[in-house]
Amino acid sequence: MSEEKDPTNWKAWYIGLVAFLVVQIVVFLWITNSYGS
Amino acid sequence: MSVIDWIVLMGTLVLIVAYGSWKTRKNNNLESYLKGNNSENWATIGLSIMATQASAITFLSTPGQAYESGMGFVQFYFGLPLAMILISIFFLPVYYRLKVYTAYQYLEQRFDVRVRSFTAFLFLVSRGLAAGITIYAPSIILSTILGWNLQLTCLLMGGLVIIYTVSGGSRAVSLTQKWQMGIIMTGMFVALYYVIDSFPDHIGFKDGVDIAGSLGKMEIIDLSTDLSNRYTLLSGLTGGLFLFVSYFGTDQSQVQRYLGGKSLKESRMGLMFNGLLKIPMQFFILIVGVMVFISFQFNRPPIVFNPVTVDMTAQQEQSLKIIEAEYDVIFQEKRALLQAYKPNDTIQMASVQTLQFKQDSIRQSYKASLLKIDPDFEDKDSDYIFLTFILNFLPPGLIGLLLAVIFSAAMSSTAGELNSLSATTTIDYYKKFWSKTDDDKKDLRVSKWLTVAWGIMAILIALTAGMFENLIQLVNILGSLFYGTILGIFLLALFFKRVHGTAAFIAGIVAQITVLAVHLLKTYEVIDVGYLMYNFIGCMMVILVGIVVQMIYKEKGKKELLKTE
Repeated sequence: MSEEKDPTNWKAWYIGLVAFLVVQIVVFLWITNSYGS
Repeated sequence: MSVIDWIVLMGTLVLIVAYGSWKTRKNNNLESYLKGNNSENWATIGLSIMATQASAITFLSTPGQAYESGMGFVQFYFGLPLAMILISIFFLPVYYRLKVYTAYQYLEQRFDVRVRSFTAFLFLVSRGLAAGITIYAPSIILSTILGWNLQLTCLLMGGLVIIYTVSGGSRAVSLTQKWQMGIIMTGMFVALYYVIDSFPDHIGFKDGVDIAGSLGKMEIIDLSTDLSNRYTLLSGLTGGLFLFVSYFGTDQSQVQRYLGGKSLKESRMGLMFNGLLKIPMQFFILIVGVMVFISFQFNRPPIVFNPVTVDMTAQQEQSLKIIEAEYDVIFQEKRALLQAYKPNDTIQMASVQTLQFKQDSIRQSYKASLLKIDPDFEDKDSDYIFLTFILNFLPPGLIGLLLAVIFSAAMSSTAGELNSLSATTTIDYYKKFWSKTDDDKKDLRVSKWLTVAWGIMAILIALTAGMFENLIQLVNILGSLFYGTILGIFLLALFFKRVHGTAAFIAGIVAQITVLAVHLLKTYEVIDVGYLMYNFIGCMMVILVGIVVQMIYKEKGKKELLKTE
């Protein structure tokens, strides 16, 4: 396990992941409303 | 199965076992055996995490679940990306800082040895049972299709996994999982192609989705707040979140996958990889199931998907034939309507809906009749649906590939489980309580033998497992019975700094008894709680009881201090 400094912007990753989840839920809602019986 | 199917299936299995064993043959100490010398990059970690979670059950039950109930099951995974973020922020840095082999080592540093041993015990019970079911699921399918002896199939399946897991340890598990995921995804794409290919020429994927929607299979999101509904947006984001934080953050079979990373960054990236791809992957598997449903609108499906081996009289046989003839008439009528399918023809689709409802009712009454004749008949046949399609619609060679998918999924999960069960027994029990010397060679030998022992235990459980309502749900219920308590203990450790060992230990025991009591009450239909809520109940009980007991101890301590003064 190396201890080198990590320059990754993790906050951006987390926000991106949450945004991707929201987009997926919105798309699924759209499918439910468009194709649901 | 043709010769070419056998060659593809056996070739894939032998290559995986040989590759895993050969690539990791130089394992010569406990650290390389249990942590793979911290050499994995983010892609291997991500694929390994996904392969450990996705067992054969995932690829057999999930399409069947979509066939029966539609796409709603995907909501179960909504908590997963959020769980990846929480683990990345709170759990991973602690594990890395303390350089632990197992998640439970941290609990001794934070609380005491009792809490560590109790939590490790809960993990061993739940994961040990799950490992048996992971072997049982594909074995029963193979034995049903090929007429193989179920016991021999379980032995073969478990034996293959034991070979490379024992010889190569954690690194062999991760390396083979990477290739197994490749085989799995290739196989599923091939399956989807052949499902759509089985539609009539004028029906395409878009028409399939339209028809599925009209027949109630495309209702992905359920906004209801009814706690007894298994899959809703709310249960996915709450119960699912608890389950996944617990599973990925505290279950050693997952923790061991990302603790083998080159660095904290690689491990975090592996978790992000899982968070990004898991929901699309589950959506894809479910859509395959929905498309199989559409295919069986044009190709007559069997009235029950599992083979019927019920002894019956001539009269009983006759009555079943009458039901089946009725089923045929309805199916033909519905197919004729769908052959003339036109988008947006609501009147036509209303007739199709009515006929589908009738077809489902006839199927249910057929199953009910079979159950009357033989109460032991397994009336839940959804796990056989996808396989029935594969055997009937895929060309020779590709049937072998799809069976290799099921085997790969089972082997990748079982390997991760055996590896982690051995690691926990070695580190949290053997090295903690029995090993008096620091003899690394001996510890490595013990760890390998423990892997063999857990492998044999998993095979024994598989040999005694019966058929349950739905295999994937059984595994989730097993997890939910223990994960809430385990997660609660870890949350106490991370966020409630004033709670000490004794309070955490009492809280853990009280919470576990409560969850088991709730499950018992649900089993006897006294209360109705979705099983995902067990995670929430267990977790909250640990935290609340932990805080209360700690306050009582604090009061007691103050009084005793006053007395002595």
